[in-house]
Amino acid sequence: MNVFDRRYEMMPRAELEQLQLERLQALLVRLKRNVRRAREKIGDTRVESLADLARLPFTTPEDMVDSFPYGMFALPMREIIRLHTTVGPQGKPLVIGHTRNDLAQWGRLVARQLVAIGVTANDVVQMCFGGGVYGAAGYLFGAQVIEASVIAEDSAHVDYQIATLQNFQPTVLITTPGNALDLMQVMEQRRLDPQSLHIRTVLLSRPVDHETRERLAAGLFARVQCNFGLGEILNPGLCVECSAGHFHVHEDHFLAEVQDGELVLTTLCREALPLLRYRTRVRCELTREKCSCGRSGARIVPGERLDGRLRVNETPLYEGQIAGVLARTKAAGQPFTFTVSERRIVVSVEISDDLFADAVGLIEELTREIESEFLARLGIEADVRFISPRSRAGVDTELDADSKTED
Amino acid sequence: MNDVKLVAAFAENKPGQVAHFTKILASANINIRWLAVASTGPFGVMKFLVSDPEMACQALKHEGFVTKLVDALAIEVPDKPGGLHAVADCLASHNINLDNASGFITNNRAIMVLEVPDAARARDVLQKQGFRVLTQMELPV
Ligand SMILES: [Zn+2]
Repeated sequence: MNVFDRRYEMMPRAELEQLQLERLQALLVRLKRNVRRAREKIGDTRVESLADLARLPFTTPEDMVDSFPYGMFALPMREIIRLHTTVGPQGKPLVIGHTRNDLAQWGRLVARQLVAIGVTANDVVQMCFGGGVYGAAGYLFGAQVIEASVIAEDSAHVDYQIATLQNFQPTVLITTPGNALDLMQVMEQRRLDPQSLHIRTVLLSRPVDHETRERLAAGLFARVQCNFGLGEILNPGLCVECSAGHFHVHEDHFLAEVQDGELVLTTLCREALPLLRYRTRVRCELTREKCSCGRSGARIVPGERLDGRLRVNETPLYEGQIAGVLARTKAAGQPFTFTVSERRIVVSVEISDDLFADAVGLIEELTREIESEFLARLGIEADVRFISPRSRAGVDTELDADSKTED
Repeated sequence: MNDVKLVAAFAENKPGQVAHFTKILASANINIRWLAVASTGPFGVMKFLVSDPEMACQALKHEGFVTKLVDALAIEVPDKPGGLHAVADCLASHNINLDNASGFITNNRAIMVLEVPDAARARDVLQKQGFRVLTQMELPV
């Protein structure tokens, strides 16, 4: 059995719930003592059993935005040794602080996942997040805990990733689904035999559908496992995907509920930024049925985002952000429609008389300008095209003498 | 001064766009003397030299198209070798850039359509050199 923290991961239900209750009570004391917002909201509510959880107030992503950057921290900055950022509602930035203990715990929680997929001190681990070291931070801490050999290199370019796979012969690859697919495709194009590499296990940064998993498993000739995490809570390190393919929440650290179909999480142990009943804005199913792997943590099946968050090339995106980018260009305020693919967005902006008058012949230039604005501000590739207002009105299919459109 | 106006219309690059425009203009009883399509991938700008530019603009706008009038010069050049070159040469020697140039021949007359940043100045220069710069009214029907 590949279980890192047998005592907690397989803790009998009753014992686990007693532990949760004690940690929850301690959390409330910390919150009331150190976080003004929480003190006001919690008031005199007392928690005698886990059932009392339902009487406690929620924390929302909007609360976090309102208290940006440090308003919800429970400790002075002196105690905080790391600030990670993540994305909140409408793409607004959020700051997640960690104390020394928080970081140590993070590593141990991620180690649970790594051990579950068979990573040991004998493994060489390559991480490809293409965005510097911080996307991989949690994985790095986890690998460090189990003393696997981490290649301290994160090449953005797939050529270097392949060279690293060939030269360092890693046995474990941790990466995003998008990058894994790129890697697979380039290897296929170049007729590189995946069996000539040494990858045994691929850990993906987020869940993918069954078909993608199978494709990657075949294309990279390795077992494919997925992580599920949330930047505001912990990502990775929120749960473990077991050999039976279920996500078990680390319930000794995170109290999980589902409210109106939404996953709600309470951080039981986090020191720097404890969150009480945080509404994750992720649809979720939750069960506490027994699992063949023996872990007792609740099993979750995460679903779609409930707040309209989209994903383009592994980057979160909200519709309002598209309008925000346009607002900084000459196309400010123009009606637009958009479609999202895995890798890019296609934005169709209505042309106006003013824009056209200003830019006959320069529309191409304006298009490029807006596209580079998308890349610079949101980090995503966009195809921008201008369309006639009539096109959006849906009258452009056939010019019919009878169908006049008034302006 | 009665410079020639071109009707510029924004067009998405998809089949049937030109036909849309010509149909609208035809039903508004507007003659098209000349048209040019500048396409850059997903969209293009279509330019028309027509008998009544204001009316053409209105007709297209009425159908939901985005249009604008563009100043241009129409120059009649001798329909013989070197005719076009003489015009280009004259402008170049006065440091006038051509944004766009093309021509057409109708009733044995060669007409050059030029878009320049400063139409009035270009007109002066060309007229001083003896070129015949046409007004809207002088365009061949
Ligand atoms: Zn399991």
